[in-house]
Amino acid sequence: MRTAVRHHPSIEMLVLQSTPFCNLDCCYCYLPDRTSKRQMSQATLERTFERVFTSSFLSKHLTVLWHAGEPLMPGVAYYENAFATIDRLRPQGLAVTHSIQTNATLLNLRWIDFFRAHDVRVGVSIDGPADLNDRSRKTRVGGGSFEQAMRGIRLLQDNDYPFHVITVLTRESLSQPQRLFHFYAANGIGRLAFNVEEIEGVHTASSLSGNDVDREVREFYQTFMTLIEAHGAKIEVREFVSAFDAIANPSSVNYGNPLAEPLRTLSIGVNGEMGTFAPELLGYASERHGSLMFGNVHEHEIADILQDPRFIAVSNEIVHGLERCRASCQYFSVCLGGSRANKLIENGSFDSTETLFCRLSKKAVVDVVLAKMEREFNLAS
Amino acid sequence: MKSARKILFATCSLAVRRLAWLSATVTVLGWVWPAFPSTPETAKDQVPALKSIPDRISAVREHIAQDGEGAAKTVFYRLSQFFNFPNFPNFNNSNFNNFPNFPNFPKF
Repeated sequence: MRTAVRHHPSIEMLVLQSTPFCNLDCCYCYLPDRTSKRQMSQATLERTFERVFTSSFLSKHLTVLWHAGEPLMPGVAYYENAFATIDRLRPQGLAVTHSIQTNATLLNLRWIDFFRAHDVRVGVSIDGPADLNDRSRKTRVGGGSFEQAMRGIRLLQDNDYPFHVITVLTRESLSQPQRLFHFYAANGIGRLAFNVEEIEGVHTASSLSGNDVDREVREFYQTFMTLIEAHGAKIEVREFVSAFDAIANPSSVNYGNPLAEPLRTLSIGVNGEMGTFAPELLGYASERHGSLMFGNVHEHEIADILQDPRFIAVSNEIVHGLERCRASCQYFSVCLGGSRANKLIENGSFDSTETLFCRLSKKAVVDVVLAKMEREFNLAS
Repeated sequence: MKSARKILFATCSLAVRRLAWLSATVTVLGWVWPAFPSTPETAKDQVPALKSIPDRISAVREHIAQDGEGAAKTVFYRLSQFFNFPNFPNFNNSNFNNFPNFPNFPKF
């Protein structure tokens, strides 16, 4: 049997596209079908979980992430049915955690009650103060989304529901770390992740391209870290925490790279299309491989993915790319090869090496966090 | 006239002493660093190389290992508190023993 899979994989994160539609029209969005109002049918949902729950690729815990569109669009009743179906099919002994990444504009008390009842982890996308946010995160008629998103954040806070924030860093925000810091501090936002504006999917150019951007990103992270320290602020930054763990903890390498290993992240599109490696690849077709969907839950078992000839070609290319990263990059031991989707979309091939994402979200962060640790230990770099 | 001689003598003896120090310095330097860089390329080779990222990470890990035990692990403890490492929201996910792990922390 010809397969590129070396170890028995395990599904850790299941990304479900309940709808590709989004009520916003952010200028850096990578989703090709975000005007489509299709919703994942209950039949597709049921088939998905029958496939996943009866596969041999489960461990004791599964994270279900509702994403790749605005997940609140289908409404609370849709999720009440969906969660009941999942619970009915769930094997004994398997823990399922639900996560939602939302623009928060549609949040209301009914949603918060639903989240609380099911212990849903909530991430809110907002890009900082109104002018920075509204520059990119626009409504369908071109207006700003800041006020609506902040109304959602206030609702979560007023009801003591925990959440984290994802902010996309653009060229404009890089020069304003102080304003961003004071925005989070003033609005009680304590858990934070920075995504750099990437070249992904249908978003083919980033404002972060250019010669000076590496230096600017480092300065941004450095200033932000200094501000946290100077103000004694309790703000956790995903990038800093993760880099700290990777540097401090030699065993962190054992965790591997779920974005490079098949099935660890399994994505199911609105029509039941199956993909793996990265949800950004949902609906994406490359010149080299064609569609990067490896079957459909209505026709295929999860195990069939591993036998799909395009999957095997892609997987072999990914392994080769990983080896090239290992051989050529000083940061490999704390990065483990980065993100597949970025390699393909930026460089045209999975067996390529450095990407914008590598430089700005991995190397720049490691540089800043490592320097901080060296200073604390009085080590000259 | 007498004071002019004195000034001339003082200046000469200072010059001799400085010359002696200079020669001694050159001699010592010659022992310590016998081959002065003769070409720009050789001069460049003398610049100490920057430590690599893996070397720097190893050095930090060594210091963490030597940083005492438990509460005595003061620098590491301070760093952990600063990054608020143990309290990150996904930490209780049993799939992710090391979560958040840097390469893998989902960016969505």
